[in-house]
Amino acid sequence: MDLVFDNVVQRFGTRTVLDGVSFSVASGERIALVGPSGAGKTTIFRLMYGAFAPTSGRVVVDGTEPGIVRGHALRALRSKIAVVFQSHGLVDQLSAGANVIAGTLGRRSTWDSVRAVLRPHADELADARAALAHVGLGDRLHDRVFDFSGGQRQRVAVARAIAQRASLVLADEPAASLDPQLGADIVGLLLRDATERNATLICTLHQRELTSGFDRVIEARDGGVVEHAPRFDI
Amino acid sequence: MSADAVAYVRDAVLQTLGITSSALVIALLLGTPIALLIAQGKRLGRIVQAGTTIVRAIPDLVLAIVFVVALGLGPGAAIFALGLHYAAVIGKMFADVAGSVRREPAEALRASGATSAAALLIGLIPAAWPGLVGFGVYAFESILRASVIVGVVGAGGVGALLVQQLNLADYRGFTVSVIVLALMVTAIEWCGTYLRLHASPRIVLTALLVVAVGGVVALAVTPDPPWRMLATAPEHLRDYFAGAAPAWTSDMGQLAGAGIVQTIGIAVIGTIVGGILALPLALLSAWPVARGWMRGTGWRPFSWPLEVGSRALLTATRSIPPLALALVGIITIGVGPVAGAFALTLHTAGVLGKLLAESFDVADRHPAEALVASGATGAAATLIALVAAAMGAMVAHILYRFEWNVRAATTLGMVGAGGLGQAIFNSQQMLFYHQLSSYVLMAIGLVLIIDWLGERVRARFRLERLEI
Repeated sequence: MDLVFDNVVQRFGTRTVLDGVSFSVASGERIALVGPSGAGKTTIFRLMYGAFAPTSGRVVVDGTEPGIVRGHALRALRSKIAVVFQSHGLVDQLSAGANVIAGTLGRRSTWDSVRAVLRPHADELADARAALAHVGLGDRLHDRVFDFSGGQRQRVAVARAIAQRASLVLADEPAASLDPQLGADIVGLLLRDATERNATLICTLHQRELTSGFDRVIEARDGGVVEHAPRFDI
Repeated sequence: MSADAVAYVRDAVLQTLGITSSALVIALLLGTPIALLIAQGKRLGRIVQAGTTIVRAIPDLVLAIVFVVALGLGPGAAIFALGLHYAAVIGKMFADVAGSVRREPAEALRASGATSAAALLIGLIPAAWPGLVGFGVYAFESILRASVIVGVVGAGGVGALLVQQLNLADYRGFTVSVIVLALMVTAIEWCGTYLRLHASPRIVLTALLVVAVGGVVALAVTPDPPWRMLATAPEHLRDYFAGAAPAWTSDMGQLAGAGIVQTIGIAVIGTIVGGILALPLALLSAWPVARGWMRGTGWRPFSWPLEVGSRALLTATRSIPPLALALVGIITIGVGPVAGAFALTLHTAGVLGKLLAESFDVADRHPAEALVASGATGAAATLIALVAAAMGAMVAHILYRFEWNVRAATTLGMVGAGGLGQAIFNSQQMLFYHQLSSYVLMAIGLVLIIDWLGERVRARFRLERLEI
């Protein structure tokens, strides 16, 4: 899935977070998005899945503008986007398996959503178990996420993104709450998954040593973006 | 409406406001030292704490009926009954607040030689202030509702007017009074919300002064100021203590048994049916919350009238006191427990709907946003992520509402809506004071047992403790 940012300006009240950001990502590219906190990385993500429309400029994802379309078109686009949130975005009270299945709600009606989370079919559970096995949590399918550590929650969120088989994977600091080795493993897993399925992957990172496997590095800075070759020195 | 009718309503409103203000002042004056005693955690404090638990278990209307019997008819009985009941409530709540703030600042001041009063004022009160104001406002709102209720047993105010209008079959006047009452409750709730959000000491203390002085002035201009009862009180007290020892007569067994079963039945039906009505309204009010500040897939102009409409319906339902609802039930359905269940069902739907909607409002909305980001429908995100996140608070609210409904079911009986309250009311009307005392003890026992069971359930499921 390809996407284009064309001179995007984003203001919240009087605060300007993005001031004329332009870049494009081709289908199947793997991009590391770096930059200091508050540089607008998360805002860029939110624009991609259409949380709001940009103040000015255009965001085009897969030929549609996520901030402009609504209804079925917006749902259809979002169901092809997997997001790993920095705060994980997990439902604490549900099991790890149910949280993984919750990644597939974009393809389901409201009724089927509730059914799939509360009473999943055997094949849906098997898919969830396989995704959790990728992140080393295959034996925790039925455990409530509430009791998980920060690192385990992070891995469940990554498993959810993998299980969604999305054409665009957005991961917000997927290695932030993990120890260095596990962080590298998880980023490697996301890279491998994207490469196998020819999906586009965009990862925000603050550890520069993790950017080496990516095709390009985009740095958000002072309201704009700068492009680098992988593994540059910040 | 005639000029006379307007004057009646005006006097009743003034009397209710006067009763509320005076009871709040008494409750604060008595409750604050009680809270300090409890917070110190010494032996005397523990004894006082046990006392407040028992006083809180007496439904306010039952306390009012005892005071009406002991002091005579009029607002004085209401002021003392509510002042005493809410002194116990404030003692408990303020002690909880004091227990929840950090003690180190006060201890540091004590360690460097400050007096204990100075350490309290400078080290503890500032940290506890928002909590104290929040609970103080809550107490004021509760006393206002209760002061309407106690009017029914002859303690004056809007409650007395409601019963009078009903007895005279003046349904138009009754409707006007209920609307005035609902507006009054809503206005006080708005003021309370403002104070909670802008809790600067100067504003709060000014408001308290206005309430205290305004209360006395309001009572002074009404035809039956409470200080009149001072002349007749000693005689009433003598009569009461002469015949008030609890006694058991053979005809009481069946009455009491039926009363207890009815009271619990009214509370159970009110909680379950009210909860079933409350949930969809709460979900409708919370719908946009699931989306957070994200653009959803629904059409915004379609969802906001639903949200505003359901919130307005909840506000309207809960601003009518259950007692007024019970009176409406008695007019339309007839005397008996069905009227009581009707009243508690509607009131529970309003209160529980608001509490559940608030549970959704404060629940973590990130999981719901994450689901919407991957294309889930707004409804699916609400049902899966928000309801799950709010589940613990929801169960705790429903449990507390059941305990509250048991108390309310006891009091509703006094206007003829069945249950133990009806037995209490009948024995007061017939001046059987010894029976009255026995029934009151039974009501206290029932409430204490239900509260104890509720505590057990909470401990078993490790639920949050939300209020008193």
